[in-house]
Amino acid sequence: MLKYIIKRLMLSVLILFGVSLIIYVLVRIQPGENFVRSKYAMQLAQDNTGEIEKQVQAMEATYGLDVTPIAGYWRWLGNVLQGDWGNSFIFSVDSGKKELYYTYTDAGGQTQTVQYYDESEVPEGATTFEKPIATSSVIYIIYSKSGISFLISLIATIFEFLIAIPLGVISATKQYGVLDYTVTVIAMMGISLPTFFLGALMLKFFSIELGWFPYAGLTDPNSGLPTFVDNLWHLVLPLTTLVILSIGGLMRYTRTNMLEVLNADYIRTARAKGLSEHAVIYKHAFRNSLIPIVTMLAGILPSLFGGAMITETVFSIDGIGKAAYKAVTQRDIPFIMAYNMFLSALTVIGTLCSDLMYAVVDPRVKIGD
Amino acid sequence: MNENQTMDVECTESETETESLADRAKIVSPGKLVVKRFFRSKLSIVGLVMLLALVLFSFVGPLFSPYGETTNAGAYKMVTSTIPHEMVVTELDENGNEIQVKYSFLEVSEEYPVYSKTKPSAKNWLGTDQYGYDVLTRLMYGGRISLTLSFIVIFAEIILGTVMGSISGYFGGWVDQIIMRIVDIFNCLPGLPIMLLAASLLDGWGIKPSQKIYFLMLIMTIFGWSGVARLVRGQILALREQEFMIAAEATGLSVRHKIFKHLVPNVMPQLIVQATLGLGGIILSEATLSWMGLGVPFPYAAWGTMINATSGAGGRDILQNYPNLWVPAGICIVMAVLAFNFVGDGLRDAFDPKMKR
Repeated sequence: MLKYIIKRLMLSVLILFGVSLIIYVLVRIQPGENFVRSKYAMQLAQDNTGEIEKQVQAMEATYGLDVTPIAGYWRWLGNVLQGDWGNSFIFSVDSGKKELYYTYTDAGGQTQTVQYYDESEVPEGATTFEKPIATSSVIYIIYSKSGISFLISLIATIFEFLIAIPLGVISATKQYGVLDYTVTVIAMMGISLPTFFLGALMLKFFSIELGWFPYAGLTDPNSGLPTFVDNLWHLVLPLTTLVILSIGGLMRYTRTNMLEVLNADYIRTARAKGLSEHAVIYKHAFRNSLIPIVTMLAGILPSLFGGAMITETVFSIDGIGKAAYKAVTQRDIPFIMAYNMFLSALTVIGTLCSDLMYAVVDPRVKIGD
Repeated sequence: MNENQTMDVECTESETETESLADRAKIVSPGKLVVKRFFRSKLSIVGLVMLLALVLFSFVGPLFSPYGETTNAGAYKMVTSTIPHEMVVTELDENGNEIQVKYSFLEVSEEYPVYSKTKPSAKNWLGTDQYGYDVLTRLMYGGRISLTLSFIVIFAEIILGTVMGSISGYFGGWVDQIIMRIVDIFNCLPGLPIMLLAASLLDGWGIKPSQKIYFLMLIMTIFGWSGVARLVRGQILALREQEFMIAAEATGLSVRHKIFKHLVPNVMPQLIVQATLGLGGIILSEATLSWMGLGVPFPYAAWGTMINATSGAGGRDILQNYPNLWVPAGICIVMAVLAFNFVGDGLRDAFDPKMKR
């Protein structure tokens, strides 16, 4: 078992290496001016001392923009292996840390501002103030933006399981009945809806026509509600969208598994023993049909943390998905790399977990070394 | 000719009379059985009808439309634009002194039409969009793009995936290791961000709008074949241990013959199901790319682009007051994906030998 896990982990490193190489090259082979240079274009044009040019060149060297994509990739990889994921070109967030300052009036009557690190440094009578430190570290940005995305995905996933699994079981027990057809058709429609279309419909009916829910964002200063309730109220439409889109897949998965279990010999035995239909389905069949679903649970890791790119964009929620969309359109290399590596790592871990879960849940499955 | 036919009939009739009951039993080939099972499911018939309707709508519809893809058909106002000019000219007055005279005048352009969004009317059944194009006609052309693209992409994916998967499964060993690691890498790439990155490359390279669709097909194929390869490999691993492969080995067939004549045809049912279900996914990806402005570009019509009118500047107005501009496009996407899913599901059940119904 341990040998198997180690082997899989080593393969994962290889996979992540390939993934990162492909993504880096894809970002870099875009022709035209790089982002750093176009960001400082104005300053560069007005610069006659050559100082800005030097700064820009230094930044380009840091991000490996001055060399070929492959060489730039090795530099990026080197930095990452040393724990430096770089700074985002376009995002910066409050790091939560603060710089401390005090001001005092000196002998000449001038006001002086001094930074201090310890309370004991502050002279008596001086006024102190603090400045928040902004950070562009991609790791910190991903950390700070994925919170809301994780919350949304978590709630949506819970609802998805609560709705989809009972529906799947019912539709399997009533196979080819009216209920089965209805549930199947509705589930299929859910799978077939494009996210942005469902989002637009939701906005049209529940926000514009009926005015029940807000149009965009997460908070509304004029709502007069407590922040938490206000946030939840804003999240109703995005959550509904996500749930509608996802229940179809899980419902059909449950149905297929349930049908398979219902055809098994031990179900016939249970019926032959004279058990009630309820006991047969919910005690004997349902539990066994959960085996593949539990293993699937480990596989939803990326979607749980990775954010919903389109849903967040449609409903203007400032989560990781919307940030990723912006980063991709503006070619923010450090952020794109970090985000995609984050997703790929989650995918790799998720696959490994669901394979391991199989052996944990179903004792018939043995993992070979 | 006629005589011959009657002769034949008489012959068979006289033959059947002498036949035993067992000989008269109808022989149903596996293919016919699949077709029979497929048409027994109501949903697959619904899917097939929807699909047929969409194909007719997209490929035959434009022939009956009085407008083209980019015909200005909507309501318009003739407007002129005026540009104010001022000129200072040095002139001599009647006394011969130089004076500065200021002339103001307006430059008036020729009349030109400005188109506006319109609601459905007898002339334009689904109204016109902000460029004065007929929405119904553009829906048809959008359908052409979506359907053509998805069929070609799935075809290419199946071919690439089958070749890679069958080589990997048949040879095993290090060949299998290398191919499967490549498949793992492609499986692990986050789908949507990668599509976005690749599609935005096309803009950077200055691909012509008319050729962009071919490059989109290429991108979607490159990032989509790995699932097929995995499926084919899994099936072939099981198939190559069976007796008929030992027989094929014994007859001394070439490797190519063994793979493509004996192994791959046995994977065909699964491939057909995977392809049908995959078509819906490709239509969704294409629509998403178009919605993000990275698909087939303006002035060509695409379903996703039509829905994109609801975002950005003026989007709220369209969202609120002109559902005729974007709802039909969404319904078309849902119909297409739904149809492929229904047909795919029907095929899966029809090919499944365990299915008794």
